[in-house]
Amino acid sequence: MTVIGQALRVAGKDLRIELRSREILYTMAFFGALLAVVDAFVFPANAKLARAAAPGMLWVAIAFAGTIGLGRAFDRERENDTMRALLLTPVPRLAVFLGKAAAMTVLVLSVSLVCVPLLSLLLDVPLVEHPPLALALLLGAIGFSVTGSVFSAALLKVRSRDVLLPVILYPLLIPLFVAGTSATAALLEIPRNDDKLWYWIGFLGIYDLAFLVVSVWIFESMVIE
Amino acid sequence: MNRYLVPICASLGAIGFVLTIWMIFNSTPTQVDYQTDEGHVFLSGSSLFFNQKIFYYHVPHAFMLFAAVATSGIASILFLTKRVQKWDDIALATAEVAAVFGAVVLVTGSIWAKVAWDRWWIWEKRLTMSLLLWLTLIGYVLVRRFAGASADRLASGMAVFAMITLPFIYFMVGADDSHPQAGPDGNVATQDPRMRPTFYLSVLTFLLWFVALAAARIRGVRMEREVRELRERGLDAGVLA
Amino acid sequence: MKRHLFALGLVAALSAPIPVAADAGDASALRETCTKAMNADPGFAKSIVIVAEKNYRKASYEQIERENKEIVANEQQQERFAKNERHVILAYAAMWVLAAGFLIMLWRRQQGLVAEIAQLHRDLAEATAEPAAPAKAPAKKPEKGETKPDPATKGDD
Repeated sequence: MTVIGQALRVAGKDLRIELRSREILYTMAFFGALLAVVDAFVFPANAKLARAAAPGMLWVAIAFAGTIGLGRAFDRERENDTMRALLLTPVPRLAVFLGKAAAMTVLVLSVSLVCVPLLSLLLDVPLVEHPPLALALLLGAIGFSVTGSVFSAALLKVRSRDVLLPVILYPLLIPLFVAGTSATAALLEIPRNDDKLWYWIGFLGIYDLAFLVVSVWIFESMVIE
Repeated sequence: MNRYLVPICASLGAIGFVLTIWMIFNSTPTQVDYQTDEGHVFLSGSSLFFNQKIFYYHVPHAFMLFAAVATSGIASILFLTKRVQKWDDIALATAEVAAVFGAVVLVTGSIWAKVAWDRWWIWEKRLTMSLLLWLTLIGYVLVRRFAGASADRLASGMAVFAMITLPFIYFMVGADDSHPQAGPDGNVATQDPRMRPTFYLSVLTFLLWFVALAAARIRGVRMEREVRELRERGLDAGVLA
Repeated sequence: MKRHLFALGLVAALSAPIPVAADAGDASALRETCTKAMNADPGFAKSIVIVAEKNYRKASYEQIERENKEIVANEQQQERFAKNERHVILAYAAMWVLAAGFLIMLWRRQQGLVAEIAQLHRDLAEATAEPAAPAKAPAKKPEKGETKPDPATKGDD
């Protein structure tokens, strides 16, 4: 079995556990929806303002809900000390890492599936009509999950991990969120600003690539039982 | 490490402080005969206002910030690959020193901006980059402080990630750059020859200051580790609970 | 004297901003008589010119004064900006405060560590000097346990 196959097995295992309880999925999606509603309340109902603020709201909702999901997903591995079992299995660490990141990506994407229609409904912003948004969200979710998985796994044995995870993650991920927000804002411009859109999507791609490479390199030396 | 390194660097740095202060207020120009031939405008044209004197401390601090971050990042990579405790000590000590230098850079720059741009803060490329770098450093210090000794690898990972984030932040913010630019030959201090001695002495002073602080802090980190080890030995011997 | 008063009235009438429509015919008649009087008497014409010039000078003097004030204010502002000492002092003070704070923190931490290392060494030496004295150890337990805010210990696992 190749590394990819092994990684898919790990991801499949994570997603199967999740689908049995749907705990992370429901809580994350609900939290994302709540954030969307709170945002809709916080900003005045002004069509122009809503259009300008919607991209930021979307990506903040994804970041916050994603952090909650990350914390819970790795807590689950900690509770029964299954992370050790997972690392003891005869698959390379790389596969474990890629599998966990892939499962997390699916979860983050499902949150955005809730947030995007909700935000575009509540704020009357045409987010759903633009297919490139899916690409931006996919790249954003990959970047978030990859970086988040590395640090969540490394924080497993640390007492104050819930506080430290956002403290570590957000400064590193700000470029990703800014790129995502800018890409979404480019979509909402009238007429759609394609140059800006593809610039930021390219930025997201390069960012993901760089972080993936460093994460793969660093995961092994950071997560040692 | 050499026992005399800290006192020597610190006292040389102290002399440098006094000298640079004297030079900044006595020998640096407030008027520059600066020919602009490619549209470079340094501060406001040819006159350096009095608050330009912030620059003699602001820029060396920024240099030292980057030096400290680079040291920390490289030491972290060495620690992750070689697993020698020494590198982790250096990484931690320089990261803490970098956080202090970063704070100075942000604060002095902000005060300068209040006068020159009439704003405390603008979202300009170098400012954003410095702020995010500083936030990462604070995160690093918090991790080292509250995640315990087992988090050394985690923190090293952070330092490495912080290093690779930097270019992204730099390209992220638009190309409009209102930060004071370097002179025609690439050096801010070459606007006027009368600025150079003070500026270079200032850089040297803060380099010494950086070495002294980092060395002192490395010693502290080692002592912290010694305390941990002694405690463990005490636990084994049954002296401590 | 009377002539001068007449001239003043005339100037006032001439410089009245809105000539009333009903007086328009009177005004042109007045102007005609005035022109005739001025032509007839050069002294009268001269006095009119003097009064008009005086008024003009007064107005322009006020304007010049206003402009001067503005220039002075501008210059003062520029000077304040050019010799802005407050912010320079602020910046240097901020730098010193940050540096001093870090130094004090460093020094205090170092002192604490030195003391703690000495204490630990002493305790260890005592414990190892008397091999059969683990019974003595519990006596030290409480105070040592209190003075041990160890962030290094792992979490709940």
